[in-house]
Amino acid sequence: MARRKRFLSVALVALVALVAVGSGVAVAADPEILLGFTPPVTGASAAEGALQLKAIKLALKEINAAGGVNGKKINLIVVDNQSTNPGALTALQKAVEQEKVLALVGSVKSTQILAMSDAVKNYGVPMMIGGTNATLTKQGNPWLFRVRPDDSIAAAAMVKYIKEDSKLTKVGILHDSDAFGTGGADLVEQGSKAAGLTVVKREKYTTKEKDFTAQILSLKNAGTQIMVLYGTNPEDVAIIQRQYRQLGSPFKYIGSPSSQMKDALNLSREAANGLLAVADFVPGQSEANKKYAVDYKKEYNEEYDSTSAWTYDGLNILVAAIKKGGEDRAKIREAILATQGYKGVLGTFSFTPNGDGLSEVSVVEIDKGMPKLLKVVNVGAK
Amino acid sequence: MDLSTNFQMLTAGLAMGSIYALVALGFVLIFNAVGVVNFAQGEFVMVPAFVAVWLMDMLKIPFPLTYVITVIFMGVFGIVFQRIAYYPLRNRTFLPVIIATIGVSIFLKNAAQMVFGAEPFLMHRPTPPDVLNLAGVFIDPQYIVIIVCTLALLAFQYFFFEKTSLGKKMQATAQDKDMARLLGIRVATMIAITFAYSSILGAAAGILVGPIFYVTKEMGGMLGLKAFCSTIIGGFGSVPGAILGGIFLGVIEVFAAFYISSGYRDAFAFIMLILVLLFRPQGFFGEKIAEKA
Repeated sequence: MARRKRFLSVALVALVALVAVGSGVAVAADPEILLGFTPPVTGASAAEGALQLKAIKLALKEINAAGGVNGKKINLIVVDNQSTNPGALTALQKAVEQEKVLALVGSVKSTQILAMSDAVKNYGVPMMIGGTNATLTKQGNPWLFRVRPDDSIAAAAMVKYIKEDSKLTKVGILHDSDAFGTGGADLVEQGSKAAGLTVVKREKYTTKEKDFTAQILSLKNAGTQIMVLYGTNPEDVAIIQRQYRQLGSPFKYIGSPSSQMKDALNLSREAANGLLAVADFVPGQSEANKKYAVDYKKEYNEEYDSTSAWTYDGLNILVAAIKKGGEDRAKIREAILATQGYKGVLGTFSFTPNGDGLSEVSVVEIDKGMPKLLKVVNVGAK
Repeated sequence: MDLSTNFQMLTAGLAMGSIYALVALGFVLIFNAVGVVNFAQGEFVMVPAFVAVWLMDMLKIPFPLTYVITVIFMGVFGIVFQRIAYYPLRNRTFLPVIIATIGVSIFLKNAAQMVFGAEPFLMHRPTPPDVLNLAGVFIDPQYIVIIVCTLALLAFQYFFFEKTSLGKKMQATAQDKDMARLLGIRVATMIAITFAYSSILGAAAGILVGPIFYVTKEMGGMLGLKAFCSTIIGGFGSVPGAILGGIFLGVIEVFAAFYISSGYRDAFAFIMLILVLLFRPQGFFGEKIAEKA
């Protein structure tokens, strides 16, 4: 009996120790600042997640190599959001409640950010986001900070380009039926009408669809002169680009940023040549950008992917704000909003009171598998 | 509506339908042989696609040899799969086996991600022209390849099951295991061969769709589900039902997406499934008797 009791007490001590270590209480050795990141490591968006991790880890390495923040190293806690909305919420809860992160870099998917939004507000924790649904920063949540141009900007820029540069009037829209694609397509449709263009047909598809013959032919038969593609998954976009070519390129093509993502272009190859797309930015368009390209190549021995670079800027802006505001969430928030004219990889960041960091995008043409800058379109802060 | 549009859609529908049919056949053959639904059937398409990409891209093995190696690999794979997921559980009810196939399916997807990473792969195509232009009708030559190969496989299968002794033994095993055993047929071997053949059908599907779908760990998921729908629409357990059900589904999907609504394309497959279950539960080719031995 006595032996059994001793065993129990030993087990109890071990358990307490484990819990303490697990929750980070026992870690007192090195003073460090805990920040969180919730990318998709598994699931449908795992490909994007892998690229996001590469980008943010480069920022982390540089920050810590430069001495961290006020003598403290940054420790980035990565929690998988499993490419799902519930997964994103769970990842946020785990990062904030278990790992006790000070602030975090969230997701690139608008639906996941919506799922996390209420909890972010309740925690009062600053979260850098890459989701481009325009409404995200306009729902009274003061803790979301967007480090990419939102969809209204990409959509407005596409419409502006179609009208002023392509001089075409009959627009067909093809979009993913998820929130990102539908939201983007709505903005293109409204913008086109406001600009005096005609939307002759609007078609959609479900993520992971494999055959787009019906949609492309339907747009063609409606007399489309230029198709706006609002796609989400790069694999879907790559199949569309290929099938668009196979069906004889029946109209011109301009796509949302997914149309010039590395993942899409690696798959569609020569089929993408000559297609137009909007991009958050184009490689080499600024000094910060050139430096990123060089550093990324040195670190990973490959070209960087443009749609995941927001995690690099996001972490850098966040850390700069912590430097200025200290380890206080409200002060960090003020410091982020006070960021004006910050030269990042994606462009020049000047935050609006809503928490939007960027209001310019580039129109590009795909040339031998790489986006080539045609024009930077600034649609002004809203 | 003009003829060329309809023709283009028909080709796409027939091609997608052929793939559904191949995967559906895999379902039906295994179901007939051992009475369980193999939920890893979609992964039977994903695995050979990865194997083929690996052979082609990493080892630079030419096309024909790649296909031969992939098919042989999948034959062995089917036998190993059978040995792991079915054989140890063969004397239990169907439920543990089904759970085992789901387990293998999850394992294979995650293994693929571990080995090949999350980024999708491009499978190069053996047909050099990227597009066929038949007087204004644009067709992906790979679609033609898919349709022709599927027809050839079906012809081979008919010959194999109806004209060879091995094929007849397999049929006998599927119809009545006890009787087959009494007649001196090695039932366990026949079942292993059925799994191998079903897995080889997956190899054919994987090689054929690879250049169109791109190769990802998720590529088998929706394919497996649609193929399962096809088997029910065609009549569960019926070989011609699986083939025609698959082709029917592929064609219906494309035309419904064009004429009704592109957003609900996937929904049409399941609407068809519900309609069939409501009005003709035994499927197009199913027998009305509730339970055949």
